[in-house]
Amino acid sequence: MPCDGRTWRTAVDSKGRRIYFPIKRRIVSRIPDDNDARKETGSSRSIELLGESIHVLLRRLEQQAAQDAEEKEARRSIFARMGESEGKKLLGEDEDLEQGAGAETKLWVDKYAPRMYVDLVGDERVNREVLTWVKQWDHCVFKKPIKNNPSGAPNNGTNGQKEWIKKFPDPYHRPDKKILLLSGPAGLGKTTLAHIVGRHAGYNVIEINASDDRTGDSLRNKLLGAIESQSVNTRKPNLVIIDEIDGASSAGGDDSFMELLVSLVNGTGGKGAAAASGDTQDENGGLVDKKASKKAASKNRILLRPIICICNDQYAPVLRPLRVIAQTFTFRPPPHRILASRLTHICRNENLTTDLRTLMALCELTDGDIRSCLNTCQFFKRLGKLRLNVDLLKRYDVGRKDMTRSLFTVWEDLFMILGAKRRKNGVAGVSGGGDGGKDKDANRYIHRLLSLIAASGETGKILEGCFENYLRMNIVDAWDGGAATTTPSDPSTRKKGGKIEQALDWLCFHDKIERYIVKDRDFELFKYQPFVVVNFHRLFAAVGRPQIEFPRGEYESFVKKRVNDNIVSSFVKGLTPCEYGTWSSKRRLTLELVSPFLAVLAPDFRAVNINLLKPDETKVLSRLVEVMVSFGIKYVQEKGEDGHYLFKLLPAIDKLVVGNESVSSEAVSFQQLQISNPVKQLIGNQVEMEAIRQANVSSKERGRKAAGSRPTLFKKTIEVDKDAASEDMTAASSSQKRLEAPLTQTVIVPKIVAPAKLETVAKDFFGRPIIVIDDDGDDDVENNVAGQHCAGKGQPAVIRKKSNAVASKRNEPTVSFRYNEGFSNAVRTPMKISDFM
Amino acid sequence: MSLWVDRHRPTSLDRLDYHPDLTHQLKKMSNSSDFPHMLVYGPSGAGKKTRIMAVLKELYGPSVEKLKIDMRTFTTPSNRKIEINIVSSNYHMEITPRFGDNEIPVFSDVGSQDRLVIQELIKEVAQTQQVDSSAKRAFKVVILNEADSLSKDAQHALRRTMEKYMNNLRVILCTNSTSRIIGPIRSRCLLVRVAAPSADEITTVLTKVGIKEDFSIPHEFALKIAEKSNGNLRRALLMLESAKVKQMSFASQIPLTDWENYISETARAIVAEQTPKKLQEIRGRLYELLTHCIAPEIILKTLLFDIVKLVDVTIVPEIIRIAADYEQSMRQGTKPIFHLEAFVAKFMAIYKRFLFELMN
Repeated sequence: MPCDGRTWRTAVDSKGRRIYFPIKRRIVSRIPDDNDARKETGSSRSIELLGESIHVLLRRLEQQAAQDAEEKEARRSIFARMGESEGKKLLGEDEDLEQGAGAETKLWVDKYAPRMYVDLVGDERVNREVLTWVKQWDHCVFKKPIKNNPSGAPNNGTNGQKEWIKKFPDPYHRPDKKILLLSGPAGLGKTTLAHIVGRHAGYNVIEINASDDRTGDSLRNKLLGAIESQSVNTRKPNLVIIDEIDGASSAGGDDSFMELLVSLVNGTGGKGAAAASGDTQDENGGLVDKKASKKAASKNRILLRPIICICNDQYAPVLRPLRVIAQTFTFRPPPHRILASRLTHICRNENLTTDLRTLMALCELTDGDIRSCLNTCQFFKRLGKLRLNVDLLKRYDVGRKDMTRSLFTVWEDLFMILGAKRRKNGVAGVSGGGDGGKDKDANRYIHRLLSLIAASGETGKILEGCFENYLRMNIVDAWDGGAATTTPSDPSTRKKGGKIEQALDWLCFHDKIERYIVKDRDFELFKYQPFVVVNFHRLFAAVGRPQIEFPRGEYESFVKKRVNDNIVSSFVKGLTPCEYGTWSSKRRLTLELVSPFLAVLAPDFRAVNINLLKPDETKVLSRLVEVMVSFGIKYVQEKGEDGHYLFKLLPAIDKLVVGNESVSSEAVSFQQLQISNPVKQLIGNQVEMEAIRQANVSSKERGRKAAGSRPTLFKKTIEVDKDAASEDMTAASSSQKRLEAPLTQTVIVPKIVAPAKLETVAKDFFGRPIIVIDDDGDDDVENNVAGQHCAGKGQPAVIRKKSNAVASKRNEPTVSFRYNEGFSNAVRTPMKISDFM
Repeated sequence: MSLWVDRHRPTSLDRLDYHPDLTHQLKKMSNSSDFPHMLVYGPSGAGKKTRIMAVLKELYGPSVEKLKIDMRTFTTPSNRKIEINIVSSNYHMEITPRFGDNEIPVFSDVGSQDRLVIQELIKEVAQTQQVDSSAKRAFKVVILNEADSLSKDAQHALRRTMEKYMNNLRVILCTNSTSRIIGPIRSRCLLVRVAAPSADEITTVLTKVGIKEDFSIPHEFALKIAEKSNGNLRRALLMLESAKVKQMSFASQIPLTDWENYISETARAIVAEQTPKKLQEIRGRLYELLTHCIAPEIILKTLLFDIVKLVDVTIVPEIIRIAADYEQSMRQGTKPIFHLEAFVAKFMAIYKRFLFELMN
């Protein structure tokens, strides 16, 4: 047996030998931490399995359990009290006993979220009104009459109730507006308010968050589930909060989520008696299905539970149908002072040293966003900063939100100098203020504007607004950067130019960038666009609040231009191939053709019957008709505002004249289209006749396979004129005859008929002349018929009866025409157009 | 064939009124066996188109005058439909690119549209042989009006086609100035310059037309028109016709077109007062012009010339320089109103400064 002072274990092997096993001291592997080090140095080298002794651990567990229980107890008591009382004050903030900074797992936002109605920070009036609205549902949901009559009427029992019902004749005693819409910027506590009010009024709050499911269908399932079912745990009725409703998609037409909401609310429409039966069965569900025999019965649901919708932008297009039917409350940021004092409270509670001024600045930075303020504070706390001050805020540049402001706010910010008031307690306060920091302030403000513009995402629109509005600003030395004071030959001034020039140069620069972006798809350049806009602040910002108008010029001119473009292209379409070659170019058309052409279209012309025209007038007319036909222009009848019929050019190339509303007297201008209505009618008539004739001739020619150009009537006459001057008379008379010929044959006579030719001028019921020309001069049996014919047309009708002898000889019925409907389709008897020619 | 401009247009080379040397050359060329691509350029209203049509008639005979209009539709890669009217006969085809000018809506396919049309349309013509066996020539002719408004892409697309299909196709480009035609195209074409007719030549033509229309024009009146028309025969004839229809006394003044009046009024207003308020007013007038499809370059140019007439000679060079600057930047941009207003503002500043210096 070895005897070296160690302890041994002995054993005997199979041969009887004794073996000694020395007992080794166990080496405990430990993490060498401070504790261990201390222990190592100490004399007691106890053998430990755990880093800490079990007793310590057990003790700690106990402590924790007790703490949890305490917490729970506290909460339970709060809830209990909350159910019964409204007025008791309870602070939710200091219930959390945890003080250690390291073990913090909760966001301060949740930790310090108000739990009671009285904890709310925001606008007291909004809070109260929301609560009032929810309370109005009491009668419907809890079957107890409303105690608090908002109209101020005495609320003694049945009397008040009756009045209430009289005021809201809803069979379910629901409030007037059945949906509540809370809107406002992020972080003001809309959701919190809705939750608290819901709980406060004794509902089981169910939140449907549109962030998860944005399709109409899934939202709809959730909503219906929430409204129709009843919670098993509590006997409380449901109240539905639809958060971020502006994110719900509007797709799906009638099936969309919004439509569902609206139809839910309007489900009351035209029921009445069925309501009473429905009233009895809303014990379990919030919705009453009408048991009508209609097929759409399942769709006809009636809303019996309050719904609160929450959105950021109440003017989002999706919400348009909802806005009409919902009670809307708009949130405003709470006063910074109140918010800051609440923040001070929290910071003190969290051992974060700060002062009111810093917190005010923080509130300003975040635009009163409570959530953002709290998060920022927590951020600094986590960074290990124990003192929060303005410098820190400045250095870390946190708490600033990526804000989307309305365009008008942006424009106002752009055109307004950072005002004295804002400088005092505003953003400038953050940057440290002081006179020396003025430039710095301005720079910072410009940077802020930059981010504002970039965030808005509508640089083009903002710039457009600047362009439309900058000239309305009060511009000091607009033209030259103070050339009146400095020497005029100052080269730098020359080069840069005045403010307006600079601004416009920036605009041109922007336009070039835009072009590059569009053309070369170089979207990298987008980031330079806000800099252009900021220059408007640099150049034109003034102290006062600017009068900004929404930019319309661009769009208006776009619309006008499109109209004119359409006129041009329809004009070009109507051209015959010969003219097309010359006038198809838009540029040439607008620059050269329009005004002389209009002059050509408006000759000096008497308003008389066509048969009474002098030969040279006939020539003018035939020429005009020829021009109009070849350019495909005609007069169409339109009813004017005062009920008169006007003849207008189609295509309306007279609209293409530039500045026709302001023709100055001094300029020598073409006399444009000053021909009277009857003349237009006359011309229009002839144009249509000629068009038909040409179509007829060309079709005939095609039939005959005739070569050469189409001989039109007027061309012939003119050629005759040209050839021989001696034949002038005959030519003129022949052309007159040609003009006359169709008239006598086709029984169409324009409005102006020479009175000499008339035998009887009868007027119909509407005072329009009915002209019956009886070739034989016998009875006017058809007079009445004619009156009926034209009564609906609003046009003077002229009926010329054929002679009885001719009629009997041909054995044909009388042909009557509807005057202004064109010449072909109103023929009552099948005839060929060629008969008329 | 209704307006005098169209009716009395000479249809053959023999009947052309002026530029006899050019006529002679064209005639020789169209009767020779190798007819080149042509680039016809010159101011508007000088008679480029008339000469082209006359050459075509010389090449193919009178049947080239039987025209028809086709409507063709193209679909761009981005699924937009472009409709184009094409005037054609059996032997030639005429395209007016109305799609490539400066007024481009933002985010449209700039440039790629007319390239597409050029490629599709011209290749289609080029790849088919002349069907008519009785035709005098083996090739067809494509006329491109306003070729300077073709985008660079389209012009490049034209290059190869012009060489490759020389057997089947000749291209005649018609443009106001060669400066916007790329070099490769210019070198492939025979450049034909049609200068504007002189005042005397215009007067002669006007008198001739008067005789044809059976009335006589006093020489002074014809001269007045010729002067006003600025060497644009088309305008001169339109003026004459409108004057005739209105039965103006031949001693009276010749009216300008509506937009010219409007611009000269604008110019007067600019020179009269230089304030931001006035600038705002001017903007409205510029918008009015733009909406009536007056090309912005023309507005700028006319405005410049009207202003130059009204101001002192010493500042004219500077004004012209800035006008040139802004015309260039206008072409680089998309919204002409900015550049036009910038020009007006710059002028106002210069003029104001000029007046200021004058006073001191």
